[in-house]
Amino acid sequence: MSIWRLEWLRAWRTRRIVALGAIFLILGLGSPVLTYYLPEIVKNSNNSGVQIAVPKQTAADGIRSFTGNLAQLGTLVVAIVASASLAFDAQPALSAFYRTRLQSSARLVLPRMAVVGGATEAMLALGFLGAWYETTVLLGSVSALGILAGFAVTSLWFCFVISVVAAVASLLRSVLAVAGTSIGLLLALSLIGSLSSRFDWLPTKLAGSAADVVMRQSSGVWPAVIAGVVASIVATGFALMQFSRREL
Amino acid sequence: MNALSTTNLMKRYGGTQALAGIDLAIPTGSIYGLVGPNGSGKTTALEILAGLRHPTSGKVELSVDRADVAYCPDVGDFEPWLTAAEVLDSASGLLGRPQSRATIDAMLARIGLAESANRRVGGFSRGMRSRLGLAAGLIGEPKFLIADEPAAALDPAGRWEIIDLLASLAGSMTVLVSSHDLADVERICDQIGVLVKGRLVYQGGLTDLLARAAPALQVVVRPPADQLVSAIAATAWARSVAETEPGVIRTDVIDPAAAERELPQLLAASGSHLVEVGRAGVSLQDIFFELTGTGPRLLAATKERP
Repeated sequence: MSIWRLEWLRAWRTRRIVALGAIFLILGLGSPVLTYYLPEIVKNSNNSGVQIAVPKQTAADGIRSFTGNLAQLGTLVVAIVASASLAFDAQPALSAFYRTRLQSSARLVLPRMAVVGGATEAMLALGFLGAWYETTVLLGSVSALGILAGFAVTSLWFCFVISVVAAVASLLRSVLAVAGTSIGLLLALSLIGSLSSRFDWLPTKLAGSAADVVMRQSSGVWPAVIAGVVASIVATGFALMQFSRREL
Repeated sequence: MNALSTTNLMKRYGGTQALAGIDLAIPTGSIYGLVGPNGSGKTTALEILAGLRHPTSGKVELSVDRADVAYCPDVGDFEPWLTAAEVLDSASGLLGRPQSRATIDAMLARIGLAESANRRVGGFSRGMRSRLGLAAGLIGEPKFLIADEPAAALDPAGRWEIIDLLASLAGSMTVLVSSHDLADVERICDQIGVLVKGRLVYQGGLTDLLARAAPALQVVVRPPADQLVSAIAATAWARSVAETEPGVIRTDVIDPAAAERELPQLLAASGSHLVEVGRAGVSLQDIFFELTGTGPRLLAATKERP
């Protein structure tokens, strides 16, 4: 059995790929529906007698709702799934099984990152397709190119998330510690990014600007794209270096 | 020729010295037993030799490729969602030496897990995981097998089977095994290293080590034997004496000729009813206790000569 088959079995038998698919599909199909019914939801839940005017929802609102949920719930789920896969030193005897058979850390870490990343992107594509369909049916048309561009930007964001988790997993051991620290780091980065437009180049901008990219309203996402690619490569390189240095 | 040798191998964990400069020499094709009390550094040494830890200083020289070294921890840990057969399939596949299903099944039968081949290992007991760990080590056809307490988690029957399996490997590969059970080591190992507090206090052939031991006599009388024990302890020819079981006296002898001459008189004088007298077999355990300064002999100190 090759390492690739083993990692695929891990994604399938642990139901991690199912969890990713379920989350992304629910967000993709559900977010535009919720957006469509938002005026009615607000109207029916408002018993105070105060008049609240909700403007008619557009395709941009539907997509914005979807990408907003992706940036939060999606990131959380991807970080947890990646932590469970990449914190392989959490069980020393199991780690010894792999380390004594795969002589380099790259042969151990890269397939895990690739399979988690591949599963995430595949399920994300399903989510985007769902969101595209529902938005088009309920709220108005969205261009295919826009959806592709939004998918690419969000994919890059999740690649960055996985590489951050790998870097943290090379420093910490338990799954809980890796997941918690990674999510904390991403939150801190997001907070810094929201402080000033001077930080628009940070990779967190990728998650926040996916809707604008889809609706072709994006301005200046390229610095964040470049930063995301560079940071992912650096974090992965750091993880490989640390994993090869670390003892059992 | 040595399959593995170390030079002044040291390992520190913060302020704790786990290995204090050991020079192991493990001949090719031998079954080498590494023994020592808890905390003596056995597992640390094995993990360094398996490439899982870095030594603080010193050198490890392997005459085989690193990929030909298999390491089996005391209780293996595997992905709970794999079956036993898949564990062996991945164990060989990850090494780049994939094995056929027939070979995998034969290996599972060899270690007594044939009926669990298609069961997920998440439900395996410690003993089953220990067996599977050994199979995972052997399936890649290593030239050097490192096994840390391979039979520790097994019941007596399972223990016997695994020790037999290790004994059957003699000559086909080099085996380095650590064990708390000295009877196991005595049964299968031809070379032995004794680690005490991170230091190698003995290394060499098992028969050489056993030959070093002082001659000993075992005298069996009807209990009580207190008077005879005291009488033997008072002689010049007895180095130590202990009543190991009621009526069973074991004495290490400095002067065997004097012992043979004087023992009948001591028996008569103490009024003992003799059941049996003969040479006591020297076990690895006796020597181990002597080398490591542990064991029941110290507990029996009240019966030792001053």
